[in-house]
Order: sequence, then C-alpha cells, then structure tokens
Amino acid sequence: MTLGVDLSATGRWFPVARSEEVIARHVVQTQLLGQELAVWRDDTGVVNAWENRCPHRGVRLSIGYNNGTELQCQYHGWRFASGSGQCTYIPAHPTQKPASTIRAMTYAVREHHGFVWACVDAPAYPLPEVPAEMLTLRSVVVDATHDAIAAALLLGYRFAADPGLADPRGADSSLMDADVTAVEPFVWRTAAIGRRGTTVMFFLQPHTERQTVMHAGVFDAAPPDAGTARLAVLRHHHARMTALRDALEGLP
Amino acid sequence: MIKLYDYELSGDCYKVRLLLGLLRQPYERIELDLYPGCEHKAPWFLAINPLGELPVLDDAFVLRDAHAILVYLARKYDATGSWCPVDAEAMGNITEWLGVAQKLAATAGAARLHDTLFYEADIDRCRDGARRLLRLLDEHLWFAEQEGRDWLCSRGHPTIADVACFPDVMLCEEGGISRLPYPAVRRWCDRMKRTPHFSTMPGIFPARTDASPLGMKSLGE
Repeated sequence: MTLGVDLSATGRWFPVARSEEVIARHVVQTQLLGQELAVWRDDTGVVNAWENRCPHRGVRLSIGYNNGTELQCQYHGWRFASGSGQCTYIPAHPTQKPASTIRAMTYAVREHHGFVWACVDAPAYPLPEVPAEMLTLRSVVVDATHDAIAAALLLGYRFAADPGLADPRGADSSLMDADVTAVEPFVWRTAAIGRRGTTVMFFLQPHTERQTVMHAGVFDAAPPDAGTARLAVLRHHHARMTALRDALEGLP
Repeated sequence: MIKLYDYELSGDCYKVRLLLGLLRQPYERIELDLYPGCEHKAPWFLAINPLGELPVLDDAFVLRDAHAILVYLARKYDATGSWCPVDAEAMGNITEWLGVAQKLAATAGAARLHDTLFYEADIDRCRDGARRLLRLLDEHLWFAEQEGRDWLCSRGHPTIADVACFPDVMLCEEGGISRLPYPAVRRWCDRMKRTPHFSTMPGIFPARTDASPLGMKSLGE
C-alpha cells in the first residue's frame, strides 16, 4: 500500500532526536531519508545537524569528539566550528589557517516542541504546529516503511486516558480506541479520549526506506507530575507503541 | 602478581583488562596466538583450561571464564564494593545482566569473529539476535535515565554488569551491526568511556580527557 508520500520530501522538517537526548559533549548519530547525520550541541546550547562525514577523508563525525565549541574528527583531528561547520584547525598544519572552503556539510536545524528538527534541503515549510506543551515519549525505531506505519496508524491507536490505572502489558479494558488522522505529511494525531481530552501526536522520521522512527508526544489538560505519574505515562505509551512496532515487524 | 592469559582482540579478554584497569590493579599478560596460531587449543594451554577458551586468570589459583573473573576481581580488589555489591537485589540484577552479556557475546561477538577472524557462524541469525538485544538494552537504558540511573543496574557507579556488556556492544560494528538505532546505548557507551581509568582496545576509541562527565545532570531539560 502506498499513501503517495514522497520520501524525498523536499524542504520538510523532520524530528531527528528528542532535545533532552542531545546532551553536552555527545554526538548523536541518526539518519534522515537515507542521509546520515551527526547531531550535537555546543556548550552554549546551540544544536548542529551535519552530514555525518568528515570532508577530509569521509570518516563518520559521530565517532569524533564534541569539545563544546567544535566537533573534532577521530581520524586526523580536523576540527569544525559549531554553527558554520567551518574547519578551524588541522593538526598536521598547526600554523596554517584552514581555507574557508573546508567545512562540514551543515543542515538547517531548529529546536522546538521538545525535539531537534532538521531539514536536508532548503526549508520550504514551517515546522508542524502542535496545540500545547507536549510530553515527549520514547522514540521507537521500527523496521518498517513510512507507508506501513501510516497504514497501521490509520487503523487507530489504543491507549488509556489514565495510564496510572492501565495494565502495563496493555491488555487492560481501560484501553480506548482513538481514531488517527494525518495532520500533514509525516505527522499524525489521535482523536481526544477521556475526560481530559488526551491526544497523542506522532511524527515520523524515515531513517531509510525500510526503517522509520516514530517520535511522539502526549497532550493532556492535566500534565502528569514529574516522577511516578510521568513515568507511568511514558511506560504506557512505550508499551502501546512497541506493540504496534512488533505487529508491523511480524514479531511473535 | 596476577597473570592474565590474554588475546588482545578478544572481547572477553578485554572485559578483564578493562576491569583490572578500572581497579588500578597491576597484572602480567601472557599473550596467546589465538589467530592464526590457535594456541588456545594447544596441549599446554588445554592443561590450564580444558575448555580451550580465553581469558584465564592466575592469582595464586586458576580461574576461567570472563564473568567469573570479573566477579572475583571486583570482590577481591575493590574495597568499596561498588563494582560488585553483594546485597541480594544487586547480586540478582548483576547476574541477570551477566546473562545478557553472555548472549551479546554469542550474537554480536560471534558476528564480529565471523567477519574479522573468519569463524563459522550463522551470520544473519547472529546479527538479528544482536539487534534484538541492543533494542532491549536501549529500552532499558532509556528508562534507567528517566529514573535517574546512569548504569545497567545501579545509579551513580557502574558495576561489572556494565563492564561485561560494554565490549561486545562497542565492537558490534565490526560484525556488521550499526549502533545508529540505539541512541541510549550510545550515550551509555560515552559514559563508560568517561569512567576514571577506562582503557581501550583496538577498535575502541578513548573519550577526551577534558570532556565533562555525561551524567543525567548534563541533560538539556
């Protein structure tokens, strides 16, 4: 089944990581539409999304060092500045200023709604709108196409309005059916359920044509407190999303 | 002096070298020519370990099996008891994760030996099994972080469970298994590398010494 989604997706923004997982002095390795990205945060909080490839010898930058202001390649130690991707230092030529043409390939990047968003072309669309503050869930990697996940979501998403009362295995009769509709390409939203009108939004990040990340967030008129209630919400939706994943992957 | 019968490229041997380093315990290496010499199957070594496997520790008595050696070293040489706590719950949890480490060796580790040292293996089965374990590990570590735990079964200080799982996770790409889909596993690997007195092996890069520790306190939110 194809839903006519163009996976080249020119100019669209995709979430590539939950913001809080892009931690200091770390390099996130991810993939968008077949293109590998190195996503990293400098010590002032600025996030970068770069092609995961050193312009010198092509080694993955995600195995390099985030020194807080630059990303340094593991192979020959070339360093590239946060923001511009400009090469700042070449250890083999310590007294020479690297040419301005030597830079890491940078992509447009934004931080919003608790996610880091990247666009592998010139951005042609705004970021997806979300109705309110969102509790971001654990992103689930699914070995399935975007279209297969979209088709599964169209069949609905079953969840409990009050996860604190739900069976952690998800078999509980407290689960309710929520219709899922497309908000825009790659973005899906459930109908509201329960007294508080809880909804869930899904944002699909195609790693490749065969592997897709389901990012998601919950909106609740009464957001759960930090601690146990929040963990119960995270665990509940994680169980629901991994059940959907396992069905799509045909796992027992 | 502790003697370690060792092979530099073995993930199981690296587990022991890693812990000896973390415990700052001096030792003497007796290096075997595992590949291509197959010295671990030579009669002299079979007399030491009839299973014909590395590593073997000699510390006034002979101890075989990487995980047995980790338990022994942590209990014997870590006066704080942090690497292998002995309360019932901690011991149970650690033993559970040593079991996972064994499965990682049998899947990710076997895939690496297949690709690098030409061992026989059902390579697709090994890789699929490794990916299932990495997925499990990633889910476990993600929720651990949410609960303020940096390690597999402890909060502030790693245990031998982390030491036992780390090598086959960190070497899995040599067996054709990407860590890209496991971001929480990648963060945990960074934390391991920043543990004081961490040591490397071929294929495992060090972390910068000037980098800040990667605890939950450095999370963005």
